[in-house]
Amino acid sequence: MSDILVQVEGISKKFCRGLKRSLWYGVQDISRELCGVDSRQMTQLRRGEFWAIENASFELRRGECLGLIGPNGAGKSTLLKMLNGLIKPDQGRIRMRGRVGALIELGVGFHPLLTGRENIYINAAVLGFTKHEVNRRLEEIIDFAEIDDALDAPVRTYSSGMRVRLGFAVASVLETDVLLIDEVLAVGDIAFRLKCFNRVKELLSKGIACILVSHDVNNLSRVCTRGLTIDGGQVSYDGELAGAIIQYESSLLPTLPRPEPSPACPTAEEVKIQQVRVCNPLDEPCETFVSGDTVVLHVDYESRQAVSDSTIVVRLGSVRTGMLGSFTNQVQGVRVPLHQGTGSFAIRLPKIPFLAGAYFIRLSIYDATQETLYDNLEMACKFDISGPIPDPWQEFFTVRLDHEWPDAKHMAVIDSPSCPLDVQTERMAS
Amino acid sequence: MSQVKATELPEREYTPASPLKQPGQLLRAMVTDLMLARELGWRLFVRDTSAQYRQSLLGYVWAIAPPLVTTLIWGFLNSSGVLKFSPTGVPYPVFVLTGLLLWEAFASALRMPLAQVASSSSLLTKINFPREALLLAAMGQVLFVTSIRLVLLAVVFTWYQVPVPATIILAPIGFLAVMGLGFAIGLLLIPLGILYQDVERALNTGLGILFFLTPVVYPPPTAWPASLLASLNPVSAVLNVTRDAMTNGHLVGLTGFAWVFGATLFALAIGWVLYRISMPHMIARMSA
Repeated sequence: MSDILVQVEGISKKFCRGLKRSLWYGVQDISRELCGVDSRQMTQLRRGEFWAIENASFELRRGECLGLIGPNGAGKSTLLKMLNGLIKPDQGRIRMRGRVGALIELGVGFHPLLTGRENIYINAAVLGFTKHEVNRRLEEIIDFAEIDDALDAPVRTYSSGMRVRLGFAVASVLETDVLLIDEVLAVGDIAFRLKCFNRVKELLSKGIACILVSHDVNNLSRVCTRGLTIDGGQVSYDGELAGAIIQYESSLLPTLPRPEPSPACPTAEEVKIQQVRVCNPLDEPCETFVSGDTVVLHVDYESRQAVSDSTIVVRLGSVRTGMLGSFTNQVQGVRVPLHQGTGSFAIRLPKIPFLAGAYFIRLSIYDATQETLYDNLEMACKFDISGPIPDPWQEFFTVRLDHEWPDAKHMAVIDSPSCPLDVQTERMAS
Repeated sequence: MSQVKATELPEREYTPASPLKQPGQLLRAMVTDLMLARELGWRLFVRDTSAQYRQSLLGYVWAIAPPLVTTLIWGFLNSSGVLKFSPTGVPYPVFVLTGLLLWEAFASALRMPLAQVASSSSLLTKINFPREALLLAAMGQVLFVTSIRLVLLAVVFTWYQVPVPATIILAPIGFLAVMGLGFAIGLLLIPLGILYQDVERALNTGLGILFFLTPVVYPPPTAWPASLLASLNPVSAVLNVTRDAMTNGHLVGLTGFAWVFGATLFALAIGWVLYRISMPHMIARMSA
C-alpha cells in the first residue's frame, strides 16, 4: 500500500543485564561488524542475554495513531529506539518513510545556562530543522509554549513543566511525517496535556502517523486509533485500542497486590467456593461484554452441612482504578441458603455500567451474621468490557454515567434575549 | 503539510546487516550526513562555547591563562638555571609558548572527541541526528581555543621582536597536521572509550607522560639515545617542523612530517567509519 509510513517485519533485539558482560558483548558486536560479519547469524542468545523485543511486526499508515501499551520493562522504549534508528535490530527489518520526529524526552539538548530562545534553535537543530524553518515558525512555537516572560531567561530557571512546554512546542510545530512520543506528556499540567493531545489530533488529520507510549490508558484513548500491547518483549495484541487495553489489563491481573486475609474474623471450613463462572443472560459462558450488557455470575460451592442463610460479599474491581464497588445479599434482605453437598447460585449484574477495560470479582461467603468467614476468593473471576470504545468527547474513563438532558427548547435563557436560541444553547454547553 | 505519496518520501531502512557490506551506500550516507551535520555542529559548538564562558567573570581569559602561566614557569626554570636546555634559536619564552600551543592543540584534539560523545549520551540515546555533528562541534572547540591562543602568541612575538620567517605561511598546514593527528587518535578511541572508562583515565595519564617524552619545552635532542624521542615520536615529527616553520624557518624532517600527515588522513577515514559503525552498539550499551 502506498500510505504505509512505518513497516516493521519480525524485529528482535537482545540485551544483557550484567554490566561488565554487556560491555564486553558491545566490543564483540562492534568488532564483528567491522569484519563485515552480519549479526544476522547471531540469532542465539549469549550467556546472560534475553530478548528485549522478540519477533515484532506491524505497520502504520498515514493518519493512524498507535498506542503502545505494556507493563514496565516490556520493551516499549527499546522498540521506539529501534524505530528511531538509535539502535539496530538483531533480526528483522524496519522501514521508515519520511521525516521522523521523536519526543523520547522533551527538551533533549537544552542547555541550562542558555535562554529559552537560544535553546529553541538548538533543540530544533537537534531534531533536524534548519534555522530558516525555525525563524518561519518561531512565533507559533512561542505562542504554543505560553512561557512569554521566561523566554529570555536561562532554561535552568524553568520548572520541569515549563521545559516540557517548550520542548513539545518546538517538536510539534515543526513538521514531521512520523511522530514517536514516549511518555513525555505526563509532566505538563492538565490544560497543557489536553492542548498537546489536540495538537497531535490536528497533525494526524494532516496525514502524519504517530506512535504514543503511555501507561495512562485514559490519555491514550484521547487520540489513539489503534493499540499494540507488548508483554515480555512480544506483541501480544495489535488491533483496536480497547482490545489492547484489555489485553494489557488482563496481563496485569495476576500481578495485582492481594490484601492479606484479615485475621479479625474467625474462619470455618464448612463451605468452600469451588469456582465462579461468568455467563451471559442465556447462561452461556462468556468473558467479553459491552457496556450495558447483563453479566451473570454463577457461584459453585461445596458445603459439609446445610446453612439456612449466608452473607455473600461481592467486590468488583478494575485493573486501572482499583476497587469500584461492593455489595452483599443482605443489602436487599435476600436470604441465600446453602445446601449440603455441592450447589450453585447466580448473581445478576444488569446493565453493567463500565467502559472498556478488564474487571475482576472478589467473592467471600460468611455466615448470616458475618461473624465467621467460610471462604474467600481474591480473584474469583474476571471479565472484559470491549466496548464501546471510549471517546473523549462522548464517554470516557471507567464508569458509564446515566444522564438526562432537557429538550433544547426547555433550556433556560438567562441573558441576551435578542440572541438566537441555538447560539444560546451552545454557549451554555461550553 | 502537502500530502506526498508515502512511497515518494525518503525511506530509511534498519537491518542487522553490517553497512560495510555496501561500501558505496555507506560512503554516500557519510557524505550526506556530514552535509546535514554542519548546521547542528555549528549550533552545538556555539552552545558549548557560549555556555562555557557565561557563568564566569574572566570569560575568555581562561582560554589563554593556562599556556601563559606554564610558559612563565618554564621560562623561570630555564632563566634561573634550574633546568638548562641547549639554545633554541629564538627567545626561550617564544619557543616554549609556540610549542605549548601546538601541544595543547594536539592534546585537546585528542581528548575532545571522546569527551564530546560521552557528554552527549543523553542526546544520543534519545534523538537520531547526524552523529558527525558531535565531531564537528568538538573540532570547532579545539579550533576556537587554539585561535584565541594564537592572538596571545602574536603579542609575544611582537614583544620579543622575533623576525617572522617566510615559512610561517606553512603554519596552518602544520597546525592542521598536529590537530589532525590528535583528532584521529581520539576518534579511534571513541568506541572503546565509551564502553570502558579505563580509556579516559589512561588517556589523561598517557598525555601527561607523552608531554615530557615529546620535545615541547626543550629542543629536539640530537645525541643518541635521547634523539629517539624526536625520531620515533609522531607528535614530535609534526610539532617541531611546524614550530621551526613559525620561528626560525629551518625546515628539517619534512619526510617524517609527510609520513605522519599521510597516516593521519588514513586514520581519520578509518576512525570515521568505525565511529559510524559502532554508534548503535555504543548507544545500546549506554545508560539512557
